[in-house]
Amino acid sequence: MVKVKDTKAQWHNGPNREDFLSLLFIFCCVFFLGQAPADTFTIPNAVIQIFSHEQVFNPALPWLSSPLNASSGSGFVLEGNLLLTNAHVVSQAKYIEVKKQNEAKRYLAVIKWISHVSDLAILEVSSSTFYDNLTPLSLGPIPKLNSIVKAAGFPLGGEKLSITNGIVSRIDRIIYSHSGVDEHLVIQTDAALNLGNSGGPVIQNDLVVGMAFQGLGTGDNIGYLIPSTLIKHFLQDIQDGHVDGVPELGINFLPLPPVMRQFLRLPQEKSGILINDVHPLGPCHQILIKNDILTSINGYPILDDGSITLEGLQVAFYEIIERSQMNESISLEWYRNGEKNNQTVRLTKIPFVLDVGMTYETHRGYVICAGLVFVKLNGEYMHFFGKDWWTQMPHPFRLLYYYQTRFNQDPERKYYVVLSAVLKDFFNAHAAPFQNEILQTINDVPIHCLDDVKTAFSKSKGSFHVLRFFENSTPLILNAEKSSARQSHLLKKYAVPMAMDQEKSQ
Amino acid sequence: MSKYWVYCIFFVLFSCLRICGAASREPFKNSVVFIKTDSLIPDYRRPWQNYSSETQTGQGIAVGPYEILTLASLIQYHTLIQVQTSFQSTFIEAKAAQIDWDLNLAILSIDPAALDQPLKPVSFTKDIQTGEKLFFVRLTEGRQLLPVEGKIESPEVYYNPLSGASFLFFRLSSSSSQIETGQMVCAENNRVLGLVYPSKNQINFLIPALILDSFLKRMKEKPAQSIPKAGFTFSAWDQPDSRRFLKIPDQEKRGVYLSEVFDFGTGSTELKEGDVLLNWDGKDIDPQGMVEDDKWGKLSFTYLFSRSKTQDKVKVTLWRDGQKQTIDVVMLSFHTQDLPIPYHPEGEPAYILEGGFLFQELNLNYLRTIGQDKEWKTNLDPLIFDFLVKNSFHVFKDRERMVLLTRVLPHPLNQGYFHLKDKILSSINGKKIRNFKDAFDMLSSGTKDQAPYLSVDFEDPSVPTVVIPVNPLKQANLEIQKNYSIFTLSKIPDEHRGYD
Repeated sequence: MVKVKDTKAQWHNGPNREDFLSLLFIFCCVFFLGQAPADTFTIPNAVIQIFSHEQVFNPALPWLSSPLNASSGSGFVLEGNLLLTNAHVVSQAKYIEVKKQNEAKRYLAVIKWISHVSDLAILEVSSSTFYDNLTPLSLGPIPKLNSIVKAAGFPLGGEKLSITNGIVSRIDRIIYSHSGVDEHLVIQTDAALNLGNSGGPVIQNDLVVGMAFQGLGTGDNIGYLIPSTLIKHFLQDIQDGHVDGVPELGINFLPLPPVMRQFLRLPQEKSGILINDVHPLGPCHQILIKNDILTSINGYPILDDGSITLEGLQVAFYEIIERSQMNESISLEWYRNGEKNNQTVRLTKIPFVLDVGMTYETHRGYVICAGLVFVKLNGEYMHFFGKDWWTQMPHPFRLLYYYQTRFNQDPERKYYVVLSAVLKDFFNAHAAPFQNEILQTINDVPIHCLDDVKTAFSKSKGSFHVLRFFENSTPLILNAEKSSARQSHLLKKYAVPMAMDQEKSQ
Repeated sequence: MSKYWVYCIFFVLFSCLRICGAASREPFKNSVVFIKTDSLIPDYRRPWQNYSSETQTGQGIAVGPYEILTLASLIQYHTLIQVQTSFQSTFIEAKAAQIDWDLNLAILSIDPAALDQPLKPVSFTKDIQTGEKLFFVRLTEGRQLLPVEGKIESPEVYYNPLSGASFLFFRLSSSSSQIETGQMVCAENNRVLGLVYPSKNQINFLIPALILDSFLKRMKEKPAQSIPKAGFTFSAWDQPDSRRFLKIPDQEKRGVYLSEVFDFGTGSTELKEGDVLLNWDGKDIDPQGMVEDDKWGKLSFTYLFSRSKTQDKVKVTLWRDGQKQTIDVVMLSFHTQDLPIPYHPEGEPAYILEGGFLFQELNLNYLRTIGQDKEWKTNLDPLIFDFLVKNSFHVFKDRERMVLLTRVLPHPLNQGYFHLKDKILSSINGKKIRNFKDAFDMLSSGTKDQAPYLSVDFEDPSVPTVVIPVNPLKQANLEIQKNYSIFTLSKIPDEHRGYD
């Protein structure tokens, strides 16, 4: 069974009578009236079943893992012997097997490339015979609205290939639940997609037009596909030997309020979006400013609602960015106080001090000093606060999450360090109320990353360590001598393998 | 025959009990009153209107021939107060004579001509015993005296989060659910102990004579004085290493750590963050912040504040910079209306509705429309919550009050801004907004100055600049008023006119 990382993205159960009648109706329309494009279809043997055994680590106590979880999903082989699947099918997997249709043998596979922001992964199968007799699939274009697509995969862990039909009901942008924050283009379909379909191809005219990846539990027959454009972007991204992901513009914008058109003296024939804020570490810093109107991107005119016409489709202008690679340049046209401006911008990834997207690190860095466990504050840690993590997490986390730029004024800071747990002993039990507090300084040494913690503990103030936390005026005082004397005892008592995970903390 | 005697015995016993009960209630017959209030509670979310009229009932105790003591919350936002006595069948109108919102107490006055006979004032006794059997006396709307039994459970220091005041209450228990706001609490020998303060979750408290007498005395002063309030927060400081870090000798067992010192209230000028309070007005404070009361045992030391009067000087011994010091601290109070993020226990909400943009002051009354205070941590925009944490008792660096754009009533004039809500204003037409009057002045001067646009910017830079065209504003306002049935486009109560 394929894991679904977010309850907002549950697969819906199989088709019901209404769906069947709808499909029948559509089929009749297609067959007799010829309203939708004619579809050719050969049952593909390149659709693969994937078995994964995953181990998830506790973000607060990173040396502890959850019980091993077994799940299964789908994948497919593209030209060039690239075995593609969803990142969520194999992320944090310790052991992966893949199985071809009509063959009993399971082949060992490993993750070769994985992009959590795009929910895509490429697996490598060590056996040279795996690709024998497989007819690789090819990627196609974005399917047309209301056209018929076929989803192939292994839903609910069944051993035989399942193929379901559906229509393309919408092309839109939504948040990909695997990372929890990244928004990309999706193709919505009413094809019956279930747990286990994840990673499977969705085909039209024998070409892969998307990959099944998530559904909407609250709606009827709403399943989502990753479009072939994002898959192509991923395949191009890995050409240079590493996964860079999707670049960002680093702007906060708003559809243009009508009054701003006159106020900002935008020519009547122009349209665009209103810039609210520009990220200081983003590619548009010192290029765009608040109240500029962005009117065109790579020559595509932007409408007042932020959309452009791209390959005959009305999509968000951000699609241009999503189809670009890191360090690629794009041209922008904008108006400032009625004056037209043009500039080429080199796209980058913004080095957020607090990255709230899930990264699915296989093991996390930590430092234990004086029995206090310190970890990096990131998406994994925040998502630990449950389904509604963005409201349930402590106030300082929320403040830094929503107002990063306002509160991250320290250019030295790499990330925030949080006190995740206290291995309690007689000398440090009073630190328990400080759990989930963000470190500001230790012994007056500012804490910008985990490495600073170790350094700061070596600079005790007389016989004491003084820890100060973000948004808390009460200091935490620890006896320096006992802190070091009891360290090894505490590690042993709480069965911690080592005091710090040096590799990840570097 | 035997059955006859059993009936007789029961009849005699029942009659005795009735006589005893009547006897115990009789002295208070002319001292307790039934109160009925009608109130119009302002709707801070739609400040141009009120919630529908509400009727509350409660009890009052005579503290003078024509004066009644009751709870202030019973008469909050009242439009009419009526009282009924045991000896008069008609309701009589009462007026709110004095109110202390910190203690939630009020004195009502009645026109002597309206009463058939004067009320019988009671005296409160300070002689309270925990576990003592007592009864709550209530006058029903049908003028029946109804006593309900109960007992005192324990003393408790109650902190009112809205007013910032702490005082000594007693937790009560009773098997009856018929306990009403302001009900008289009596003990054996007809001793009047105080009145009932109903709290949430069916828990009732006794406001004791100590507090009531102090209130009645303070209300006689001109002007009426408020109860002193703490101007700091503290945390336990009992961990030996933490104490040694501050060089507190091991033999010194007292002391609580001052984690925050406010700009308002007692100690705001004399105390410093990081001080360790050892003794307050002769009472030693333990590391958890408790003092030993001669009668009630360990209590939070903040209850000592209600024993003093504002401007009293008390001796405070503290540990500061590695030394023990004794200083004088002046007992101070503050009104919640004067705080940077105020709470207005009475009056009307201030608002300006201009072009469908609704501007309001950031105050606790408005925040309470978003949820209870415990929910603010998750419900509120974290920036507003942060200001709430930092500025509830600290003046803002650059302003007196905060003004919010609370919502946008859709109209073609404000198209594109409908999604904005609860955003903190920073400036209008480039002028810093320091209080609600600034916002009002700028919005009205913008229209008078014939500037073509009003441009509103916000504390959060990612919020778009709101631009309001001035020319079509008058017509748009009329349409908005009509469409949304809004009687008045702005309300600026007097307290918001007094800045500068």
